[in-house]
Amino acid sequence: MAEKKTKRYLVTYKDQDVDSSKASSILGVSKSKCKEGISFMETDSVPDKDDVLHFENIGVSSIELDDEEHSKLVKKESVLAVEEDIEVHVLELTKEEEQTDLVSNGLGSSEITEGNSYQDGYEHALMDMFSSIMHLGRKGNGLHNGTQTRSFPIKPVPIRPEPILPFPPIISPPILPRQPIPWNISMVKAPEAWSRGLRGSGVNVAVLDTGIATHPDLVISGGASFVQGVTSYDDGHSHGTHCAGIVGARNNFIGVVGVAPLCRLYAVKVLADSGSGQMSWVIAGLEWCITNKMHVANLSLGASVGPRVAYANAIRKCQDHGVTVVAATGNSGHTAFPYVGSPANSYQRGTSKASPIAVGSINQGGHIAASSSRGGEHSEWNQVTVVAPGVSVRSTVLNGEYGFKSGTSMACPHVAGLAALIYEKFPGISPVNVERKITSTASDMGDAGYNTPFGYGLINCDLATL
Amino acid sequence: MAKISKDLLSRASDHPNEKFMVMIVLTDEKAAGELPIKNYKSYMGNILSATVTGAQITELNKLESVESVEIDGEVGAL
Repeated sequence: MAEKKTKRYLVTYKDQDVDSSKASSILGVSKSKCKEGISFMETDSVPDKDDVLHFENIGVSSIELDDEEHSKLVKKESVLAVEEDIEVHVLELTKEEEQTDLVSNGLGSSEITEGNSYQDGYEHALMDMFSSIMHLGRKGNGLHNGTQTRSFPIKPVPIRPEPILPFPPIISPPILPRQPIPWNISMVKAPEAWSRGLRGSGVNVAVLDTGIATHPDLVISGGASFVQGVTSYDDGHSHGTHCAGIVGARNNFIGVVGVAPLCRLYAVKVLADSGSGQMSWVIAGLEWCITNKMHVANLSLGASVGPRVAYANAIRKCQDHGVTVVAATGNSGHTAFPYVGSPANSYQRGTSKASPIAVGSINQGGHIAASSSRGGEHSEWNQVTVVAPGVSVRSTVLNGEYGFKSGTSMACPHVAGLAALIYEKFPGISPVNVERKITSTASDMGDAGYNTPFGYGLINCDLATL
Repeated sequence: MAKISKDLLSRASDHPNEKFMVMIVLTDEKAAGELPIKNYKSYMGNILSATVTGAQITELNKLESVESVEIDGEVGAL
């Protein structure tokens, strides 16, 4: 029987976190044939026909398939796209080529721009590129909107045989979309940590809040509800969804991106859709974090009351079990209770583990938010540890949309995201050392050294993960 | 910190039949059986959530195995 004709394809998965083992299962190949793409290619080896190269950081595999295998794979739920691994060429011209092109078309440099808007030029370039690629014969004699166009220069080598295509392929415009980076994410220097490969991959972050709503910019790995009479961890309020986006909105060209875009987000609903709940629900949520091996628990919630023994016990147990607890200080800075609220103010004599990392809020100008709670009625109370952006922060909200919110609730998830980056960089690190990394690398703000409103200062994701 | 706040103790003794939603922290995880309450939820071994009367709060204050009794207060999104 004649061997089936195969081609090499690139397979993109819907889930960004597909590892080599998961990829081999989706592709239906043995794990031993699924090789790590980058290290394989570094050896200059040529893959065998049945070799699969998996590029874990970008969630793409390269595999050789026949037509039947291709059509089966395309239909799989977990597969986003199966595209032919085509040859690519640079599209940039050398100076000589540019000059040659100008002369051959009889155009002076002044004529190139005169009378042509940017949009015209862009359209011409696209039309010309289509013509060149498809060999459709538009060789400098065509008219487009009454304007003379020039042909796209084709490099003399390599020459590829003319493709036999049933219909013209869809070619995307040669402008790649970019993920917008919100000001707050830049301010905490998260992109600098990403540039060193840290994105919170494999780190579990629980957002104890109103739940997390389904959103194209969020991947929810699981969760639970401790709200009386509510079984779903969906969010009917938007507060939890907003916090989740700050921690880990995906780096996917849309909307916003979080501090740790590849962390595993868990929705632990401890506040009803009204935005409020009971202390016992929060403690139940913290217990869930221990049972389910969370690395970080984000508490963008609280009350304007003094420290509670129950919280101190629960937080100490979390941190004893390796769960770093991060809590918002509160928004009572200008009230009769201006102090850090509960549970952020939790403490227990003789141990720092009963105290969470307490996060205050600053604005884009680096000024402390007037509402950001600070200090304590008693010197033993846990006070502001660090600050993060918390005024007019854009993040994910309900119905797949985005919105601005302000408060220490928004500052807190920046620190949870940073903790996720630290866990990725230093696996097995203890919560006490996570806090040390965060405080020792924070940028001093306000009065020199530790001070009441800013604590140790603004978190720095870059320095904390070195 | 006091085992029970003055305010709560005072309310409990003034209203022995009133019901309070509380969080009880035990010094010993095994001490739950000694408590003058039957229905509670247990978290992390030594933290209990229960609805108790004012009279029961007064009783709990006398037990060595009880580290604290606090109102199960409301929390909100910040």
